[in-house]
Amino acid sequence: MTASAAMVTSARRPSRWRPLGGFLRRYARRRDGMLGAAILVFFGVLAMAPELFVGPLQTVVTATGGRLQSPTTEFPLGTDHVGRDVLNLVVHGARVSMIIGLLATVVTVLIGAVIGVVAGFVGGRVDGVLMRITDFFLVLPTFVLALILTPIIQDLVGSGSREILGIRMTLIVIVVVIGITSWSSSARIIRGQTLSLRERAFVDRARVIGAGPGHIMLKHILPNVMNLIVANAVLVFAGAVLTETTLSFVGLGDPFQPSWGQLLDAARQSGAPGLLAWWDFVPAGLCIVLVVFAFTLVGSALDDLLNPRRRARS
Amino acid sequence: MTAPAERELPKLADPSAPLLEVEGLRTHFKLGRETVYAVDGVSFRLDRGEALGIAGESGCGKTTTALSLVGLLPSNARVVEGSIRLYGIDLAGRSETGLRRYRWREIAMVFQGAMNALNPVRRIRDQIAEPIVQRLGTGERDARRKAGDLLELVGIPRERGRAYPHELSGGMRQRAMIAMALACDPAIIIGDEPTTALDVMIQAQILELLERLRAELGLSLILITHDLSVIAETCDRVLIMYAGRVAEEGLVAEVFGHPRHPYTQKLLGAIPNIHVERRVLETIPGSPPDLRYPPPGCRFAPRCPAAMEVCRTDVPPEVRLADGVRVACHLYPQGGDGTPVVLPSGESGAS
Amino acid sequence: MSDLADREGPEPGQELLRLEGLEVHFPVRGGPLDRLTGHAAGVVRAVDGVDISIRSGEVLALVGESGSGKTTIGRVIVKLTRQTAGRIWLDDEDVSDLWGVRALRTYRRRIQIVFQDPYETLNPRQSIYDFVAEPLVVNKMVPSDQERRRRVMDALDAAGLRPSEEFAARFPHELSGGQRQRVVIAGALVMDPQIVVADEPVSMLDVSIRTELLRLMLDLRAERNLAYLFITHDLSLAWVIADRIAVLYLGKVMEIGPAERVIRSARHPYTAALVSVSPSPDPPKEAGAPNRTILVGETPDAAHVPAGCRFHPRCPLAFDRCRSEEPPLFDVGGGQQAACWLAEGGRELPVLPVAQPAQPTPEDAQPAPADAT
Repeated sequence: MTASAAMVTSARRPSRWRPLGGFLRRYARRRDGMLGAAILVFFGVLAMAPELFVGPLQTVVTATGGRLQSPTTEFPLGTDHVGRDVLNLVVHGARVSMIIGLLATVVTVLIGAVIGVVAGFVGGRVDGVLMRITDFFLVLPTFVLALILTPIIQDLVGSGSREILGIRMTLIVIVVVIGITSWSSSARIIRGQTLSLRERAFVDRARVIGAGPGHIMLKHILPNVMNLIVANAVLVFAGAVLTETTLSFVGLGDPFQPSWGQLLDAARQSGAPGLLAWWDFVPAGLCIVLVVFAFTLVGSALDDLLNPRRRARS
Repeated sequence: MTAPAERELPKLADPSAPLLEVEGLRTHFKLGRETVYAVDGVSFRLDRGEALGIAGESGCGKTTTALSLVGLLPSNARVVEGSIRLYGIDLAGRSETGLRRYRWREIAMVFQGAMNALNPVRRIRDQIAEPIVQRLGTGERDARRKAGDLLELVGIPRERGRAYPHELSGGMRQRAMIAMALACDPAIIIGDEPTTALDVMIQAQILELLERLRAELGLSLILITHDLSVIAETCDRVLIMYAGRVAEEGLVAEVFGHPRHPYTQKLLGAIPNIHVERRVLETIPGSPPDLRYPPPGCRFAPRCPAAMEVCRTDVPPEVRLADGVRVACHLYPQGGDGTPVVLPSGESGAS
Repeated sequence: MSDLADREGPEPGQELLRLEGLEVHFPVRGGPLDRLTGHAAGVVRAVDGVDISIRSGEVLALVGESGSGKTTIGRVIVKLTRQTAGRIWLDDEDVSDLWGVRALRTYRRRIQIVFQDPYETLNPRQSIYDFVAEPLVVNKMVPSDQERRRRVMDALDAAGLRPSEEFAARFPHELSGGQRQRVVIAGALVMDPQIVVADEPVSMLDVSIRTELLRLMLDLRAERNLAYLFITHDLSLAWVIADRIAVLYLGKVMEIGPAERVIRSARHPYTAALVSVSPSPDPPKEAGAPNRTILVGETPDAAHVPAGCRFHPRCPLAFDRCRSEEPPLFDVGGGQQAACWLAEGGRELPVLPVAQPAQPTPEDAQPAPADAT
């Protein structure tokens, strides 16, 4: 038979994940992406096991320091207005901020992806209706909407000390609110990509062999918007952390599970800025800035790398 | 337009030198840490008024050769060796500024895929006028008038100059590209697959236009294409390239009438010809080598039905035969009589 | 292995698919004012009344330039595009209004497609195995994993990709263009269709690779009694592969018949002109100046189809009747038909003038033809 029949271009064992390996290697070459990833990994580790680093969360009861003491060797970041170790609080705060960010992102991206893909692929009236709804949410100011919704939903749900996955109900509410208010931009972006994918030959081929819209959306559209979803999710994560911070800062957070935003709020209320007790609020603020910055670095690196135009055809 | 044989030569030109002479051209790409030996020892010559066709399949280096001539290589490519002599002036080593006197004014290029080469937000007429203003220092109004002249020359009504590229059909766009190449009255036009994306009737029109321009303007033409039939119909001489090297070169009548190199024979045999009886079409099993790791010896040897031991170890020297054909194949050693070794048709490769 | 020159293939079987009066018209969106008032600014008549039949085991080439409607016809046959008028018959059953995933299940098993671009037809995230198995999965054709695997390997094998297990595990970016196109063919074969629509299947491949793919397609035709609707703009390609050739212009069939007759004794001026300008690698200088009839101008916009015979503005042999009346397809004997008044009564074409295009006519100063193929 013709020689081309036996020709295989690579001798290595084939793997579904080889494209991933190549991608990780290319990512590793980007200084911005690696810096961002390093910062996120650092905070992620802190968030997962804060007790390992600073012991259990200090409460008013277990506080040992004096009021608003400046940093010493015993309290490297000083104490807050009730004598708690600020370092302890900041490290534990990472947990809340990161987890809320993660959950909120999942909710946002899930809603956004489903609506984006369905609207983009099905088109017609369905698309019209979905996009009008999306546009409605798109133009509402996210934060104002969150501000209004949070106390309403908290009232509905009851702000008792119920917990889901170790997160108190009040924070779950924040997750839901962020999800509701942020999904629309994701939906728009994903819909755009879906529209262009829909015209491609492999989608035509799937139709010709008899695949229904569900199969095509799941097996063909979704895997090819996944890179966009990931890049978008990273930025949504940053936004979620920021939104949670702000909500907490205006008092809608949970004082028993302090997030960075909570700490900032507490510091403001205790008059720390006026007393120039910078250690009470600067660390938390710095962490927020670092995390958001890290996300944008990673997001920008991903965006560049996943840009289809950069992918050379073999 | 300048009548044939009355062009004003550039300052450093040597009037006795051939129009274009390329010797030992080597252009390499850097891909990460590896080198792609895209063009690896190509020589040819173009005389005044001549049409030379450079033929080969994808990856043979023909486009890279063309880009080397006009100095439009991508940033990761370099001419590492060889000379490109225009009227005896070597362009190979020159910098961007050094080439500016010659690019477009002596050698111009019609690119593949006119839609990508034309600026979608500028009118055709302005794009044609641009090099006239920039290179020749002509005023804008005069340049636009000349652009209109050029449009008429290539068969586009002058009024259509106000159109944007997307408003023109494929054939018209290609004509516009040709007009743009003619803007500074060059001596040589290089056409890189100028008719590949076009319907056969439009292709015939464009080729016919190029022939007419050659006659009227005394243009010399380098036509780069994978379509040997197009070369057979329009060119005087043909250069067959394979994997960055020259396989065979000579007059079209000679090379196509009595092909010598096995690759030429197989390639000619693989083309369907509507004007003859239906026959077995040739196939060349395998594919061209990865030019990061070119095989030692003859680069066609892995796929050649007539490959001998020496082919795998020694690079075949280029031999000029009695009828003027140049061929690089061990079947035709220096001093041999150069009779074509005809391969039996339908024989598959010896990989 | 069958040669491309082997014209004594399997006997053309009975008629499998028939198109009657097929029309595909797309509305043209006008300017903003038109859109507000709901007024259609015009109609793009991509396919404008086509009658074609495909017999089992035959290779029918649809040849045409851009704007001829050949791709649209292919898409209608595989039910990617809906016809606006006309009927489609599969085996004496009217399938014109058959639509929807479930209703088309049986239809789709019998008619498959091979697209032009092997780089685009494969989903970059899908393994070769998944691609070839997908038709079976989607149609729930084979319940057992083992059986499905066997059929996928058989299809890859039949397409010349051996060892099939190795290829099945790969991803598209690891294969060359020729190999990818073989995968596409395997994917079309796995349901054991009777008709394969091949839309420019080799035009994106290198010349030396094309022959392999063409031979493969013909081998499969011989083994499985497959019929091909071979869509191409290259008349020379149609010449070497087709049993019958249909020449399309601006949405209608100009000429149709056995390849030998259509090419060697064309009865339509358009066909004759196309043949005359088809380039050949034989050095023409021996034969003197080639007799090329290069038509003036370009194919008009499918939204502005000329009155009468749609080819008349560019036809070197046009006369009065051509400008007012559209000719039907006349039978000129031997299974050949031509839509030309000159063919009425079975006359042969006079020799075409070697038309040299001077300046283009004002008709050419028009916007680009709508992308209607």
